[in-house]
Amino acid sequence: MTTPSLPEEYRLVELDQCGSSNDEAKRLASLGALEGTLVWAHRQTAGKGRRGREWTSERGNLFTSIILRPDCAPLQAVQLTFAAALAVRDTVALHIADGDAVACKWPNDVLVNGRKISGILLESSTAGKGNVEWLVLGVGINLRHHPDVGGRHPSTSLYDEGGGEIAEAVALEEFSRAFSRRWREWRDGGFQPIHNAWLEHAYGLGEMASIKLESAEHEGRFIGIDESGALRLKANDCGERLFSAGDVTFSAGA
Amino acid sequence: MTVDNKDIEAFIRLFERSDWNELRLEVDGLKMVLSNDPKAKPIVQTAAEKPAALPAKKQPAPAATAAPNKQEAAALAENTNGLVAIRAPNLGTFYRAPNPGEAPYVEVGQEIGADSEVCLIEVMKLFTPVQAGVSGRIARICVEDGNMVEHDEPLFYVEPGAG
Repeated sequence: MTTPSLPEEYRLVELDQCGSSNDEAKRLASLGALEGTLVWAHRQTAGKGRRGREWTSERGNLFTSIILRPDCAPLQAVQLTFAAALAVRDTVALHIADGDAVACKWPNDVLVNGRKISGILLESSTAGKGNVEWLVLGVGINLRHHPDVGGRHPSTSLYDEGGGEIAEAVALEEFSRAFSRRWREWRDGGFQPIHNAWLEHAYGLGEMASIKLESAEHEGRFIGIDESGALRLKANDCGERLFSAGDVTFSAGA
Repeated sequence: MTVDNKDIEAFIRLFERSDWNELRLEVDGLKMVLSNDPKAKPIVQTAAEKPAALPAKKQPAPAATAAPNKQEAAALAENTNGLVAIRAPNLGTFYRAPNPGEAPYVEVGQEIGADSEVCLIEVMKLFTPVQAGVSGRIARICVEDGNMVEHDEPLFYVEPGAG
């Protein structure tokens, strides 16, 4: 097994198998692990998606979680969701001939030809203080397999999209370099560069969309995201509205 | 920036069409609170009615010294005598359990410590557990699982004690 070569700010914790890379990274973070600690698991036995949805985790895909300590308010840390989605997009686009086919769907999905190729899960702790004490960025990229996670978008893998067979270590090197770059952009330039880059690759921009909340569903044209990352929908009858939660679908069916 | 009656009507229409529980707006001396709570009738308060001594600080007030509006102040006096609120650190979706199908972090009557985790708040797929910040016994849970909460909104009331 070759040890991947990562940007200098990352310290690799390589595991043949673990419950979930996020749980392992959270455990290390709460024990004081430094920023840049990167957990890489070859297989997860209890992979987690959003709100505990099972994330099937066979060998051959990439599962990694990075510990960050951004010392900012949780609402600012949310911006890293978009930085992470961009880094996943950057990684995937290296292997897909038509770069335009790789898009970011609000808030944290990356789609290839409308199919979901990755999962991103951010978990943070404020330890009772206002600011984030640590943040764990968990990323799964489907290289060889595509778990059927349900939801409205079918899933896919880089292999199935014509990207060939990509070794986990290669994908890890590419993703860590991409995230390192996006992280620096965010740290040095704030949300603006991330916001702009994300919009360039946004899925469904300008299309009619509907967003499903716990208690209601709203429709409108997807016109962008605001400075906090909230989804901007413009409805015909009542102007623009902002959403910071909910599942989005596009009525064009694309 | 000035807000006229047409703007206020627009806000009311917006609120009526939304699924929000509460809308708070402060623009240049105007303070408006719209609420779906049947006990809290919507009010429109202008600068003239506002107590002159209210400081206009931007940073969030700490829980114990938050400056509530008149209505909230009355409600607190009636219902929360001696109780301490655990408030939302930021806006987002409120979850009572770490994962769907799992037991809630806390139930009414449960003893908690200041560092106990009491709920989870999600904003744009970032999940952050909220710590109680106060020890005692959970007296009331103010928000239903899965509902949106605003910054500083009371989530729980706690009967302070040794924990």
